[in-house]
Amino acid sequence: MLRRPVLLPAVCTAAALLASSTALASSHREAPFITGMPKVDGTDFYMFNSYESGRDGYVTLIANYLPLQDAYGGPNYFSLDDDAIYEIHIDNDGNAMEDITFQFQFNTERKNATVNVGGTDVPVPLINIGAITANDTSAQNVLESYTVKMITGDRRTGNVQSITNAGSGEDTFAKPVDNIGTKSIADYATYADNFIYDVTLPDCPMPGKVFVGQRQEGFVVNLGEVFDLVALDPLGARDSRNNILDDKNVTSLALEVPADCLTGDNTVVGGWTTASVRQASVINPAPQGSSTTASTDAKGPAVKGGAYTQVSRLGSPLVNEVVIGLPDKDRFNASEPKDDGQFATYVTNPSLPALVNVLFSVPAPETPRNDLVTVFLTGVPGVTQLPTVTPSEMLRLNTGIPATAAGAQVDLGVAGGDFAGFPNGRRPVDDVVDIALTAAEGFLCGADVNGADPGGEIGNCGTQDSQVNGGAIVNDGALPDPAAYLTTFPYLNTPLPGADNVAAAP
Amino acid sequence: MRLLLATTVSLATLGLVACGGDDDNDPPPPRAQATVDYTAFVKTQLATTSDTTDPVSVNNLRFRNQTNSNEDAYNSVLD
Repeated sequence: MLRRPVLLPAVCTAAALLASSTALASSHREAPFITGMPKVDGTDFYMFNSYESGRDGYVTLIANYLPLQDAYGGPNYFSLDDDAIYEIHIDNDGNAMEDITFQFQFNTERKNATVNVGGTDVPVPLINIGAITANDTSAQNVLESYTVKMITGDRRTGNVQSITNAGSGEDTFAKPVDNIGTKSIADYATYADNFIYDVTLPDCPMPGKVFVGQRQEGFVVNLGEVFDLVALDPLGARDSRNNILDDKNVTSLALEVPADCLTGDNTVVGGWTTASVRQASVINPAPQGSSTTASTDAKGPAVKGGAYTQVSRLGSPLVNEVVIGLPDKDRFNASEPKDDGQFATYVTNPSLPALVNVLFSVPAPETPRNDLVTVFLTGVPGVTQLPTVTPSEMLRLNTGIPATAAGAQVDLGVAGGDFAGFPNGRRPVDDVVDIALTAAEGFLCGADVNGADPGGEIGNCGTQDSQVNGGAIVNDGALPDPAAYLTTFPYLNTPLPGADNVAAAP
Repeated sequence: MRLLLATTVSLATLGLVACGGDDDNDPPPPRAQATVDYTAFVKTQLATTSDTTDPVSVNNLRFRNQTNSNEDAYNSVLD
């Protein structure tokens, strides 16, 4: 549908809006309040038509949490929050409210392993006291598991059903321990593969897949220099600098779902992820240990209760990072797409181009930025627009546009002529920073992705109905490496080990 | 004492219910600030833990901290 040798057309808009910033780390520590709650800090959300061989007709959803993990961060490493819920929401009719929610909830079991010291069994301080395999967790002192609920309708009051293991029928799944090092887990890639589950989805005739666990950070950005007043040449070579995140890990919640089980009346879906925690918390001045896991009979370091309260929200990349102004970042994280009218000014009158103008004397496109509104808030007509148009921020994917094979993907996505990439959904390899920066500087002004055919209109920038700044590819100098991603589910690479002891062993 | 606490929490709950969300999950409209004891508020939230309710809006509450110097204020929820 829409295949044209066009270069950066429509969809880039989404990026553009986001682009209204100067700095980008998709959504890592992007708002003041969430910096104090890393376990529920959503960092990136991917949604794309699966490109693994034999998985045509499936959509992969990946929500990343817990940013900037240094692999050696022991002894506790990077467990998720048992008291939180992590959710992926799907809007398939365009009313900016969730029609389907996948809700992940975690449980941490502490075995309190001991060693005998002088005749006394003494609890050890480590999460493992020997090598670990998928089939032998006897040396593992801390184990995480999770459930996934599929909720139809409102996320809190809708119809709740469990996603179950397609083989065993169980509704609880194990999460692999983080990549402690090669002495604890000799072959982490093989170990982690054991935690990819075929699952039965309620009311869906085809099975899906689920995986939750640590992955290598897939987001690419020259973070330090970008935030240092864009201390680089934004019009230089796209590979002129380093990806500062290439030594970090992150925790991924990944689902693969048949497209037909996500869509409504057309092939477009909108998606976003949120995390919510209990509204009230009381810090315990005398925490008590637990024999197995956090339970009501042994109060831990905090007692939490009340309703689940949303503290993190992420759809399209970079929105809260560089589009939403500082006073509203925490509000955005607590908000829902249906209420996004309150943030409209940040899209129609983005601050990023103005900042770039100050720093580099590059003229900012005129406002209002209708180009950004289209891609970012309404979707592109005929491409990523849902049947009902409710201006709202979410990542939109047309499941009817075939996936591009891993080796043929263009990291500029639609802007590079690859309509299976951002902002038609988002794949791991999509260089959303460059796309966003480029769109912010006016690449999409007046564009029409469908040419003479109906639909595809992006919208003007004020009175400007053609590309501003000569259609320059504005970039951060950090280029994604296609070899740094898997070509099969869960697509994000094996996490970096905390230590690589095997090679150094005598 | 236990009765007094229960009564306090119940009254606080009643007061807070009026400040809670409506049926369509929207936040309540602005209204005059109500004064609420912070400790009672927190205890009420803990006592009414639910997976299906919306959080209580606090923008129109004026919290009163009567127990700032009482390190035993939360003992009832920690025991």
